[in-house]
Amino acid sequence: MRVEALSDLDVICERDPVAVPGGRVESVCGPQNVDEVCEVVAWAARERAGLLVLGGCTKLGWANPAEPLALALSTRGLSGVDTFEPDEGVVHAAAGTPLAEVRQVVEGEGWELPLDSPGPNTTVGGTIASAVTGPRAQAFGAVKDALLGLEVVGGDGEPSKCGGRVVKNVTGYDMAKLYCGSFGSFAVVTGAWLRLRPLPACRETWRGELDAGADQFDVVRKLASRVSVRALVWIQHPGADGAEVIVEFGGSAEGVAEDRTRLAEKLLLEEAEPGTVDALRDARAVAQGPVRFRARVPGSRSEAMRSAAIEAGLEVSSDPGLGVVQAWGALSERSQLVALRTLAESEGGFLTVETMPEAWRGSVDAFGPLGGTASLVATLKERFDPAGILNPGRFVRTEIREEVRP
Amino acid sequence: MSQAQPRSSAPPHAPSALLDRLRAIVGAEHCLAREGELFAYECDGLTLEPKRPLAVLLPATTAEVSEVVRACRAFGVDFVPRGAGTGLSGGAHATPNSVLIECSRMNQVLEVDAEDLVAVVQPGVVNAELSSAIHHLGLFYAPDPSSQQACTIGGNVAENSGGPHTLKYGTTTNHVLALEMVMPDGRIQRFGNRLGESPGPDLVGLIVGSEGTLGIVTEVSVRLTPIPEKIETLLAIFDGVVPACRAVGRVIRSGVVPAALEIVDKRTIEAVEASVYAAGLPKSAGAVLIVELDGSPVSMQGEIEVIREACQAEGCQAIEVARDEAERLRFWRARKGAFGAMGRLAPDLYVHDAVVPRVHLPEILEQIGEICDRHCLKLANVFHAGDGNLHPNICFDRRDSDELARVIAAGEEILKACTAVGGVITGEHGVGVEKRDYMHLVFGPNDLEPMYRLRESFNPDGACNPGKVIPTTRFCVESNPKARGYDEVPL
Repeated sequence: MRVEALSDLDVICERDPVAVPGGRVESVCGPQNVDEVCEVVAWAARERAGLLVLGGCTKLGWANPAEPLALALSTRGLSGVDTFEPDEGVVHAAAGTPLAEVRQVVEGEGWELPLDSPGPNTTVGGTIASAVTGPRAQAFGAVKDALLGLEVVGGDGEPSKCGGRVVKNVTGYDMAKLYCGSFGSFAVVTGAWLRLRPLPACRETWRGELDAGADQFDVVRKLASRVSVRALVWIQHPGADGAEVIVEFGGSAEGVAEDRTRLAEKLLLEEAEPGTVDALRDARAVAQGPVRFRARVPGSRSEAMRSAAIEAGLEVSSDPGLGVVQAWGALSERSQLVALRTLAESEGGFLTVETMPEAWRGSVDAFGPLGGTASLVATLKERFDPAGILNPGRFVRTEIREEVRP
Repeated sequence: MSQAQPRSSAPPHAPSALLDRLRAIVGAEHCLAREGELFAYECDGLTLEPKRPLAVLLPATTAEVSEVVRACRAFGVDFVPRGAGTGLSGGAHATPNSVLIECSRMNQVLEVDAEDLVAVVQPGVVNAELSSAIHHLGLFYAPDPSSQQACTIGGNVAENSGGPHTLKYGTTTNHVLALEMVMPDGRIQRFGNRLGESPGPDLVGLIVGSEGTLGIVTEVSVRLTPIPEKIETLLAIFDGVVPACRAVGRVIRSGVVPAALEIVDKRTIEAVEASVYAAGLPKSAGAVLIVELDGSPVSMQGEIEVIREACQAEGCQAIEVARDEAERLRFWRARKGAFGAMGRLAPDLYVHDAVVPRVHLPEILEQIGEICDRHCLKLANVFHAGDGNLHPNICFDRRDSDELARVIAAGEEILKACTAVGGVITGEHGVGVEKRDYMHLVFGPNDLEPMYRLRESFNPDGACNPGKVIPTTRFCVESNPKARGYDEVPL
């Protein structure tokens, strides 16, 4: 079928306008297979129609608003784990498959999906496009580390694949590194081969409380590097004297017991529910506040970032082992947010804004400066999406690049 | 390769005005252009199809690299980056009308940050020397290619080098955080940060493994790893490679992730035992499996038992745990001495590299054995079994043109057998020129197109390491590999 007009897409489109951040789209296409994805993208490229790519819609408010938009393409129709090899520890899933579904399939056979993206409906494709991680990144690594191979549809509507299904591979350029984390700017991810990790024999979650001082934060940060610590989250409210620490351990029973003993020397621990880290991860990704951001700096500098966020009056959920500081709440001035970003950058890191008042969007980029690589990224965008229709403006922004510095 | 020539026939010459310019940039003693000086630079670890560069430049600084690149551009001369020249796929081979830019003089460790586990190094730092330099801090640099005593970090970045311990620690790409690179137009550009995570696409990850075709890396920030508290090395002896591979499958299924899972076959053992690397292995050994475990001492005993059970379930003749460091090194000699020892078997060795899903290891090894038998070739297998990364090594004598033709034919059949079960044509040696024309075994024209677009975004007119990694013409689907040299096709 060759799509000549939007009406030809009726079989795969819902013709109801849908509100999305920054505006609305007239239709949402729900292709059921890769061929249909190609048709929709090729049509959009011919018509120069901006296409918003949707997964589980858990991060729609993140990144910069896409504009101009004509229609949305949901990958949820591409769903399911089609290959799982328990003897190999690899799985292939279509982009629209919820992570929860992949986990369910692999965990029964002793494997773990090393993706820790927040949100109950978060999908494989959305996780890859946003490269978002959670507190378990210190055990799992980054999203890119789990990608063995990808199938994508480029901005010209042509399907392609990269990588493979084996765990070691240098055959050609590592194209997945371009597609992962670029918010759908270069291609629509339609499927992925993912590397799994053995489920740890023993998993435990513990909770403790302690003084919220700089010294305590540093002590906790150093303990976070123990081998069996999978996640360590420091939670602090502005104005409070204390902080709460949640630790998830994973490994051999002996290893977990040893590391738990080391932590118990520094803070009083009580056992917590197994899903505590998941609940924290999901909650902080949708925490309400006019401003919400994720900063990441080298571990040794995370104390500076934590204390600056607290002083600004924000709620903080930090992963000290990763140097991650997530914060949310109200900031009265745009310049406060810019100052926090400047701090993250001066410490050798970055700050990604997940939510901010609409009035600030024109002058504060969600991602911040690209360190002199902006023109290269623009060149890549031109080559991979010549019509400029894939999530226009969400990551690659041409008009608004400079932000106001205090 | 079927008409492999020991030397390039008509040596090309660099324009003398260019040579003058290059000498002014790097100093006359660091600009090699005489025939005798260029001889050593005709090839890297892929000794077939040597190519003479116009000149070899040994810059000392990023600024010099940039100036050399700009000078080459001004004269319309291509340039090829080179590290220590240990690569096995011809990635550092000169191309027609090119100079080599070798980074061996840029060999300083610029900074070590033991708190945030980062080292900033120049590309000419030797891999093993980096680990030596930080050993006193209780740290090491994890990627450990077999050539680590000679190969450099810059070359490792280009090739995304692996090694025996990538099973647990990953390859070079997992350990490179930031880069400084001279772009193919001579601009100096920085990528990444010390976190290994930046907003947007992972440009560092695109450059790692791009085989020097996107630019010339002049500074590398790498992740350092704490030396594990405890290391245990086991050596299991099997009747043959097939039961050893099955034991590997059991280990992978067990939930234990060893640091290394390596197999050495009978022919290799015989060569090693007859050499200075002799590890004292019994003559009855049909294959040995080396398993290295590392981590917390309290977990180690349980993991050793898991490995022991996996090996015994596949009928291993014996399994030993190294009692001390000396014994551990003796076990590893069987593995690390393999390539040196194979010099005893034949004058030449074709070191192949392919990957299969690990579940297919037993059958693919039988197939590879059958292929080599059919071509009357001597095969020795030493490989990273835990990653499914095969190294079928074919012993031959290049002076025997019939044997050479059979080596090429068998190599191609091996790649086809591996890709037929879902494998790929290289796991750690790279595509270079050696496998460029086999890319179609893994990728169709649609899959190669984004790779062209990537290269063109960085390297628009292809002056930087031309003709490597992807076929030179966009729509060459089924070419006749090796029938033509890479210099015979217009770029």
